[in-house]
Amino acid sequence: MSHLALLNISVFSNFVAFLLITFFLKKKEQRFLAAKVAITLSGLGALVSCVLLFQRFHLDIALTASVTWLKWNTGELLIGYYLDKVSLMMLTTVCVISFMVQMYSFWYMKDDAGIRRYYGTITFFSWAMIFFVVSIDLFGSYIFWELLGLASYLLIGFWHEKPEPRRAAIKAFIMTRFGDLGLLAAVILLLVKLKTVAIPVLITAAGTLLSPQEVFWIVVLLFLGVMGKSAQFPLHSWLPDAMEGPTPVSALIHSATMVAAGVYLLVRLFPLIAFSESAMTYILCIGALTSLIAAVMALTEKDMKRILAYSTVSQLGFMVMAIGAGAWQGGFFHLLTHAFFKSMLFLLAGYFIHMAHHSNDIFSMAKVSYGTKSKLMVALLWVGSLALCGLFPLSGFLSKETIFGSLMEGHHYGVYGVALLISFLTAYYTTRMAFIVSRNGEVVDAQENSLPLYMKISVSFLGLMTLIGFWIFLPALTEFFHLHSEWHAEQWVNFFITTIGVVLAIGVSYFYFGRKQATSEKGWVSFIPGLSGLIENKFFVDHFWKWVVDKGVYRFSRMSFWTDVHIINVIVDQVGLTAIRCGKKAAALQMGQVQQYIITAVVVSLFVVIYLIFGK
Amino acid sequence: MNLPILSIILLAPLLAMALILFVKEENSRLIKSIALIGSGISFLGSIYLVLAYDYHSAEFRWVEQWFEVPGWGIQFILGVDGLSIPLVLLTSIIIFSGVLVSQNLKFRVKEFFALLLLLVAGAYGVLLVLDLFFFFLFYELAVIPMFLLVNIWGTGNKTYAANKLTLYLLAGSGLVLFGFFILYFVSGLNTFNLKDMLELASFSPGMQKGLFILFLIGFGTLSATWPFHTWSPDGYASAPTAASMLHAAVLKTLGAYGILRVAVALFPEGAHYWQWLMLSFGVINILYAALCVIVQKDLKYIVGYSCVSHMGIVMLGIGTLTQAGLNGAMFQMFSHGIMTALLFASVGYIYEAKKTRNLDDLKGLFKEMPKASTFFILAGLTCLGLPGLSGFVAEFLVIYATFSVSYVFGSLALLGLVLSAIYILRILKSSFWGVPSDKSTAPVGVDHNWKTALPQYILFSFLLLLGICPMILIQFISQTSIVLLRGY
Amino acid sequence: MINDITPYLILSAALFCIGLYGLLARRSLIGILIATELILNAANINFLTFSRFMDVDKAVGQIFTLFVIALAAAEVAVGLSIVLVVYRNFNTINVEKMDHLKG
Repeated sequence: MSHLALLNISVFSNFVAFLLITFFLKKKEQRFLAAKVAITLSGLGALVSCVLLFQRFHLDIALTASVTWLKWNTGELLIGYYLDKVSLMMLTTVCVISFMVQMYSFWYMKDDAGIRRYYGTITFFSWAMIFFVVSIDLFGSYIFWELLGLASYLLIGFWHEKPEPRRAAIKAFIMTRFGDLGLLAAVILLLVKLKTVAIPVLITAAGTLLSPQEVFWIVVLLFLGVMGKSAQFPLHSWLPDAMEGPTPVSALIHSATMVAAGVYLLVRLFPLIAFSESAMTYILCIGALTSLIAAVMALTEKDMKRILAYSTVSQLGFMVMAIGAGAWQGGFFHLLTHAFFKSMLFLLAGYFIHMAHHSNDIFSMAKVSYGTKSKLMVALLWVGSLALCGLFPLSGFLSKETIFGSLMEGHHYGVYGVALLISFLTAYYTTRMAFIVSRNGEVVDAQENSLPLYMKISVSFLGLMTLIGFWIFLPALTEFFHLHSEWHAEQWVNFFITTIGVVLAIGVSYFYFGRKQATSEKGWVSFIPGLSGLIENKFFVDHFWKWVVDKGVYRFSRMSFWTDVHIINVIVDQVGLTAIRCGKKAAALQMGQVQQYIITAVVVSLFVVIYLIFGK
Repeated sequence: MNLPILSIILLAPLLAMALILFVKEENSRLIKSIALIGSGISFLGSIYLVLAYDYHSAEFRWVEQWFEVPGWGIQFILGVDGLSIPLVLLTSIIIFSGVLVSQNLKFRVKEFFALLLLLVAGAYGVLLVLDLFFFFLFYELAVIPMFLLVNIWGTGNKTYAANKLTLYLLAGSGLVLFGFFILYFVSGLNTFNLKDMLELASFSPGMQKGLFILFLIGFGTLSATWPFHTWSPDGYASAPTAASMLHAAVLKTLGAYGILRVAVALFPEGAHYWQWLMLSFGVINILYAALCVIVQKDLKYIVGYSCVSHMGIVMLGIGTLTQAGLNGAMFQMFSHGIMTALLFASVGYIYEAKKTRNLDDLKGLFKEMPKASTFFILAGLTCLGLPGLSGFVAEFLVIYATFSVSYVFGSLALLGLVLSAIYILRILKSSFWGVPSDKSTAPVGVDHNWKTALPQYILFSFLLLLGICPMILIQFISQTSIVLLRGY
Repeated sequence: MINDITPYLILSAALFCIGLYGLLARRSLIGILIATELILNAANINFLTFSRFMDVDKAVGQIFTLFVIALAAAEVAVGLSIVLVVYRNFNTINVEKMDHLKG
């Protein structure tokens, strides 16, 4: 089969599942069939994408195919594929993780009445995400970007009977929409300037056709979209709230794929972005700030999913920071490794939440006694956590090391320091979570039967990828990312500094939470004055947005409506009423006394006669 | 074979109306079928137009001349081009689904359908005739039945709404009539024939400026341009479902159609002079009306105001005076029509089942009536500009065109996208998601079956089709917008 | 004096004014009808006078007068029947009470 046909299969397999579920498998008793159809088809897509990866990765020519979607005298928009190495890797990652999560979801959602709706939405999401990844046109990317937003909205609000998911869903949609305005403006500006937004053109020629000033503004607007989707400060606060959705959704959408779309877009358009130094600096600062703030937020959190959500925000900021520092390879590499271990951590979180009788609190998980059946899960939790810390030899280490290496090579020593601090904090809060969760308490767990095999497979596969998967691909990746295949003194220094930092953080974490007699909840954070207050108020970001919505939008909308009712309508009504009043006045002449009329007639005709006689 | 296709489209509803007048009131099924057949014939006719139209040229096609009034320069000429064909199709879709929506009507059925068909005949007339005298005549024909429709079958504060709507529209058309007379005398051609006028007439710059603003405000009132928009939410909130659908979808776009057909086509210099005003009107309409929606409680008011907001996009697109902008404006006219009709149809259905339109009393609609709610949600998503549905294409083109003219107006128009997201999601959050309240009054099984959902399926399929393949519609418009802009 | 036009016109004018006064001042419908008769007769006298003194066919004025007399008779018949109906409906023939056309 041709590569294009394979690509078509891997892109549209999820969409076919979506159509089947939406239009054919509507009955209540078909809900499990619907789920199985979705899993099978997305499995097919994942398989085909892997085939594509192995067949195409050594090729340097991108696969392109497109049709004109819209055309007018000064512009043209395309829909189609652009499959180079970057999108190929991302495609495979998304397909595989989507398949794993869908497989896992069957266990997690099997008792939920809305399982059909769940699979319908999640296949739709997967399709949109996959198409976004391989889209040839920035406009096409925008289309799927928005569809991702919709799918995310629907899945966050999946349990819409409860008020919190509803609130979280609307918050997520509006905040990302706000960012999307920037992306749309950037797309439109590029269209106005270049008459096309095809990605091959943008990454080869755009920089030479635009002035640095124009590139700066376009990138800043574009980055606004990234800030919304990839939860960068100050548009990040929707992501922790988005944890109201089902846990597999958090695994797929709010950690591994959709939120990575923003970072992916930056990677995709890096040649364009790199034309503006100041824009790069701006991206760097926002990334570092986000990463730091989110890491601090995670320090004292008790909700396991929220810890993971903050760590996602922090890691996304880390990637953005790396891209801003020019190390796009490192950023992208980290995006790939992060996708695997973070989705695994979320799936495990789903498992532990289930065990702790549907409580997200890590301290209630600590009370659960884990039997032998849970050994695998606890072990995987540690694998994922240590990968998140960036400890050798896990996949997180590889990508983080790449970023640190690039930073050092680029002589960004300030950023290097910040990254080190973030890495320290990350290792601390992650192992805090892992220590507390894996404590063995007395409460009997909620595990009814042994876990189904497919669920174990999905989690273990992700664990395997975290453990050794990227080592297998390392030669190919090394070549693509231009990594150093041999280590010199600089690399060794780098390795020791980061590893010592991580080990130190794990030690601190062990001191507060790992020991048998540990009782602390917040660790050392309570010793720093003001910090816990700041964390409790979430750095006042939510206050700020609430203020914007209340004092901005709602106030203006009340004002507008007030104007409508009390000014415009009053004027309109007065015009009407004036007409009526004039009519009333005129009607008063009509007194109904015929004799009065005759008198008037006589007097008037008398005057007429007088005028006719004497007037001339 | 040379069928007088335009005459068929125009006369079918009139004939159906005449037939209905001879049927007894009790025989309501016959009345409904006659109305359905009449509108169905027009529907088929306009589908034929769409399929047979050669979009490479922008000339008037299928021109028919019935008669002329000698010495007065009044001719009854019918003809269509790429500007009117999509709107004829729109009118057909709306009246067909409007008649379908009204199948449950029980009160004074005969008059209702007669008036509805009269209204739509007026709308067809405006789109088909190429003579300003008959243009005006048909416009009035379309306005007057609305007064009765609101007054007799309306809800709420209907007398006030009906008076306001009718008087407003008459005031607007008064300006238009005044303009037509000036055109008649100043052009020096002594004719109302629009075709001749487009080819032969030329106006001095000063005259162009004056006439353009006259038509802009006159037609602008009809298309609910701020600050002449307040008739629209009140009127639509009170009108019966089918009437709101028709009025919001078709009559409102007739205003914009008039601006394009008469003002933009005849007065290029005037249009350039008043460009800033059109852009400002457009942006104000978008933002102001969207802000107004956010605090509304009544579903119909929400749709009514959002409708005003959409017309802002049309006005903005026209104001850019570029091909992309005009394409976008015309696309928006079509897509707005279908979307608003779908919204009104869904609201009408919900109202019929729940007997209330107040957001505070409606809870958990999605659980209670999933199918009916789905259509509202889908139309709402079109309204907030979701890609894949037609609203997005129009908004994108218009905003693109606006950016190519002015960054300031473009950025302001962008904000409208967030506001529309806020108001749509707010409604979904408060009334569609969640659990139905215990006091739920809806009878069991209120949800759609395929019969009641048919009009919504028809409407939505167009939204989806155009959202996925916008070129279908754009190819009609593209050539026409080049011709409209040839004087620029 | 018999050949002077003035006295005839004065008589006619006086009759007209009396009639007009009656028309305007009377409150009773019957009175108004009578006043109308006076006005009509004033017109009759004018017709006859001018037909007598002007250089025209003498028959014209007389035919007009006869017409008017016939008309007046018809008018009285209709008028009186209206008065009767009004009386039945309103229990009065006072015109001031009849202002249903008041705006």
